[in-house]
Amino acid sequence: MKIAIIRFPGSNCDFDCGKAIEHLGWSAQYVWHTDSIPEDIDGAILPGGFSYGDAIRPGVLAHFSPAVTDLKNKAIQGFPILGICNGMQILCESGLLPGVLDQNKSAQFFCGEVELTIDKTTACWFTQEFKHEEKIKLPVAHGYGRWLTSHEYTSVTLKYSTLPQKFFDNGSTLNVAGICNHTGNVFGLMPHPERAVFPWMSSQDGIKILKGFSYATRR
Amino acid sequence: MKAEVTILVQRNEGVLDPQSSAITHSAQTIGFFSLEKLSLGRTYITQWNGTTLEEIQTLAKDFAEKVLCNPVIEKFTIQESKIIEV
Repeated sequence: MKIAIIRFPGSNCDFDCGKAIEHLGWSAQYVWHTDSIPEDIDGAILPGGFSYGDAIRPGVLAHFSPAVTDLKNKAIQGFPILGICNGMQILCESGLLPGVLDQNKSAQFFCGEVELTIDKTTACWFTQEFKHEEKIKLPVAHGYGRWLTSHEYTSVTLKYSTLPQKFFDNGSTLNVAGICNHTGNVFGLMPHPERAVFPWMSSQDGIKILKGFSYATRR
Repeated sequence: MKAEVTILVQRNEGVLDPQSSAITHSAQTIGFFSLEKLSLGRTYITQWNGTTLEEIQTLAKDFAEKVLCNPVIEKFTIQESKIIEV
């Protein structure tokens, strides 16, 4: 399986994602944002970082790039897309996912490990390896993780477990840490699954999220 | 012709702005006790080429809607538009 990792000026988790994909025995292909997505690709990751230095709002300028425009067209056909941190911000700004990520309630950048709860009442290829209401641990590192929406929204795929956690409360609506589109192939999350992969890391729960690509392409 | 359009983007009423809260709190701690409320906004001063001012205003409004402002949390106003070169 071949996964594209889209790189923007300011991406900084691209190689972490690549290493994680290779750890699963798949191949990672780095795609510069001005290029189109190659035809032989099975899925795509929008990695974390600070694309365009977060100018205007995090993710807004990146979503006009040719690579993301390509992804918008592919998403309609069921192509699996995983947006991590800045990648989730890009997906929300592009309209592939609802809402917008605003500054943390605390006005502070938070970096640490958080506990999350999986919700399997909605279709999502990236949570197939988990049980409903399973608790997992993943690292987060963001200043703009407060998910807000103007519509009533109840189908949350990944939630921060009962708050307050130690030093962490970003103020996200419904404790949203990750959301999926209604067809289950586009998933955005603020925590970093690629930083919870190898045995020496404090958690390996991230592997199960990345394995979601195999379910999506198997469909 | 060339025109300058000033666009102000502000928070929607009721959307928490942590930066404004932090600034207000800090101002009060250094003695500005009478400061009750502060709202942060972003101003974009843009210059455009076009044939009429109306055409440029329409383009600037479209740009603000598509790029500068996310209606979930923000609103924008065109503060000023003036011809700077005929």
